[in-house]
Amino acid sequence: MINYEYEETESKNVKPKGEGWEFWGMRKTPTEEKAVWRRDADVYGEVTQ
Amino acid sequence: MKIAGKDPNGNVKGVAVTENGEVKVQQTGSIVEEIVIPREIRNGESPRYGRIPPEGAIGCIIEHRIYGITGTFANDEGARLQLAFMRTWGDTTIGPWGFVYTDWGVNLSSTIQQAIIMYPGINANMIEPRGGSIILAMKPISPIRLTIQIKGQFEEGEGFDSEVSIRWLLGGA
Repeated sequence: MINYEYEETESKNVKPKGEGWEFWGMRKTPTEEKAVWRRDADVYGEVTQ
Repeated sequence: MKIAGKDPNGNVKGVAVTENGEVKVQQTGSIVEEIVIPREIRNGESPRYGRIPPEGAIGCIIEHRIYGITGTFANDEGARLQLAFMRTWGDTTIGPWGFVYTDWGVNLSSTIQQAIIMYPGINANMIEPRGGSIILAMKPISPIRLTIQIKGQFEEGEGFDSEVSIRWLLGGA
């Protein structure tokens, strides 16, 4: 399985900053609705050390 | 005795083992940590995974690590952890004698944690659980079985990208 990392934005017309993001789907609850994006963390993940 | 979980159809699911047949765990000092339910995107109930508390375990922290969520959820929908207490004799995959559930959650672990904490003497009144987490003032006294339960409406490929870990707290940890 791909090691995904995720970001959420207010709509599918708004893409997260950075490269490699693909739209996965919507997360809809009674109180909010978010567009969910994902990318391969092993390819695009930030180096922290 | 190693426990193999079972899927809802009753098929046995094996646990990750070394070449010597021992369950894979990571031990750091007096804490033993392992991934019990492997990371996967699910939109339905996971198979059931069993564990026997290691010798000397006086507590544990079970965490549902939710990395990403898509789907449509009403109130009382989302994902929750089911913890089952299994019998202590003979075939320890038989049971359970009791259940504990977290609340249904639709939040990422980057914002709210969904966990079950077992530790004797912990004063649950001092802690306000978030994300439907559960605090049990008890030792892990019997074999357990863990399951991710999921409710919601999903398009193809949508669901919860998550895994479940357990940290056994040993001795004086």
